[in-house]
Amino acid sequence: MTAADDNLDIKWRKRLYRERLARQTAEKLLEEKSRELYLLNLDLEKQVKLRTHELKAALVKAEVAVKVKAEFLANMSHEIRTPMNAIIGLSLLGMNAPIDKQHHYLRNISGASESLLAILNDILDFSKIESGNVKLELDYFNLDVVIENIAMLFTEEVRRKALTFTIIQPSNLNVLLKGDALRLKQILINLINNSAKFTHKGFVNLEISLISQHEKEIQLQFAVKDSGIGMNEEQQKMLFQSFSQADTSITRRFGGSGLGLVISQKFVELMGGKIICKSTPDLGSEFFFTLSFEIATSGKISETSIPSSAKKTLLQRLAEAAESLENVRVLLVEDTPLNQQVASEFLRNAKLEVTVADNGQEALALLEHNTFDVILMDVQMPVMDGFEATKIIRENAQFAELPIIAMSAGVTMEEQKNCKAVGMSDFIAKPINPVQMLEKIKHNLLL
Amino acid sequence: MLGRIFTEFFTLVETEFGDDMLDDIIEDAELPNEGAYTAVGNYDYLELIRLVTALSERSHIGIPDLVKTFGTFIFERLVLIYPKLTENISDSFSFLSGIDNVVHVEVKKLYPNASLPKFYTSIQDSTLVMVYQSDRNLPDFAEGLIIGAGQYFSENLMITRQLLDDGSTEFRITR
Repeated sequence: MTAADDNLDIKWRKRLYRERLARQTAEKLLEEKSRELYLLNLDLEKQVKLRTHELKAALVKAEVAVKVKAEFLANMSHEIRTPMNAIIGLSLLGMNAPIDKQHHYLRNISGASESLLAILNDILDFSKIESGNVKLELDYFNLDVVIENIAMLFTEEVRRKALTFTIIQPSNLNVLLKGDALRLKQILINLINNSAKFTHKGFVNLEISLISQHEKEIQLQFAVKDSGIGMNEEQQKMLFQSFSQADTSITRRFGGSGLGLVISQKFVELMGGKIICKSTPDLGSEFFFTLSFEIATSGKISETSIPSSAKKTLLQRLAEAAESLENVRVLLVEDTPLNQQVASEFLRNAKLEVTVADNGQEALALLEHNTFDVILMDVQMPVMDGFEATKIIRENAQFAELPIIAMSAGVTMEEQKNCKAVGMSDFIAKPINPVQMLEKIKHNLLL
Repeated sequence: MLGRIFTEFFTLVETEFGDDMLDDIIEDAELPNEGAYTAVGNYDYLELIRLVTALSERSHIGIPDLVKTFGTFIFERLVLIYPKLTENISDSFSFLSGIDNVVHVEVKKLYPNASLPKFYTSIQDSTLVMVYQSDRNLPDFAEGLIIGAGQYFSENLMITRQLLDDGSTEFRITR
């Protein structure tokens, strides 16, 4: 072998060594990569499984929600149709009835309308609860006032059914409680209504007992007891579920949205308690819950006791509310002829002077050449709505103090806030309660 | 630096200067792995610099010219190996504008550890302005790639370049 051959041999060996080394490195790297890929794949499979499972669960949840909503609609349709049936049927019958019998029909129509309103209010509360939009309005209140209010409401109702209605309460608490008085009242009214509905003879009692009292806190138990038809255990289990009156046929016999207890339970829970039910078929039922309240000690209990008018009949209350409103000049801005009739007749019966405008623009024109003491303003109207009209009226310094009271079927807090924002002085919810309407007018005229 | 760059460099040296030249510069560069590079590995870029320096010494061609030539060469090769890179792209400006957001995104998927240069591009009038920024600072290599792109799309590119204060390089390209 020559030296050149030797050199060549060394060169080739080197190249071969280099190539082999490169191949081995590459193989090692490739093996590592495939292991990585394999592990990644495993992880991916796991993730896909997990996601699929989550999606399936979400789908099932969504399907259930849709079903619940559909049932809710069907149920509410049924609940609304029941009093509607009475209203429509009785109106037709009333129109054909001799004049001396018409009063009877009208009274029943009025009753059915009140149930319809109660159902709508329940639905509103329920949907607020469902969407988690319920907040308690915490303020100091006097429990005695709440109880007196309730007493006034039920005395007549219970008397009509020949039941005894007794309220037992701790004597002389003499403290202000911090809580949501309106909601507490709503809960108690609901429970008492339920009891009254299912009790045909005997009693319905509201018992409030003092569990404990400390310097800054008081614990009270509220119980509503009756001697009604009672429920078996099966029925009791269903009680606090949406739309489930213990027996669906009960809805037909007794009416009601079937939402009352759900709503009440939710409110009690928000207040930190829980409604518990004890019941025996044919003997009666008891619903009770315990709540703790922060207290402000006596001294400045504002004597907001029930107005004396509250104990009177509707007609008496109407007459009282109308006092000193005679000849007050009202501009009624309202686009629906029937609603114009309702409001203006209530007002004229109370001897107020009423001028009607069909929309905001007409109201502006009327204001130019006439003097009014107060404006009742619908919110949604064609041509010019109540917001727009109020804004324009308020721009005129001459009308800066003129009371403008919104009259709207949009009863959410949002709507009321919007009314205040454009400069309206007060808010009346439709359907109109005539006593409330007159009182609001009086209040805003500082009479 | 990706092994592919090293193996392509070897191919270039083999085809342009011959097998013996490759043996020689591997020897000269005193590489830790004795030149056993694989396309799928990852290596210190300074090893490539040592190889280029050795090539420059033996061939008497300046380092910048060698690096530029290598850039042009590697563009051609990369497009050949990864035809997806130029899929649906019909001109050099589109390709160069997409290096950061398209090409490098794909490279990262294959090689998560790759450290890649940045190309900030903008079009001013009919000029493509490209700012090249890299820890390795190889503007000649970048210029070679740009030339390669021009050749690939059969465009006559005019390239001027300027060193910026922060050490990055700005290319202004017209066609």
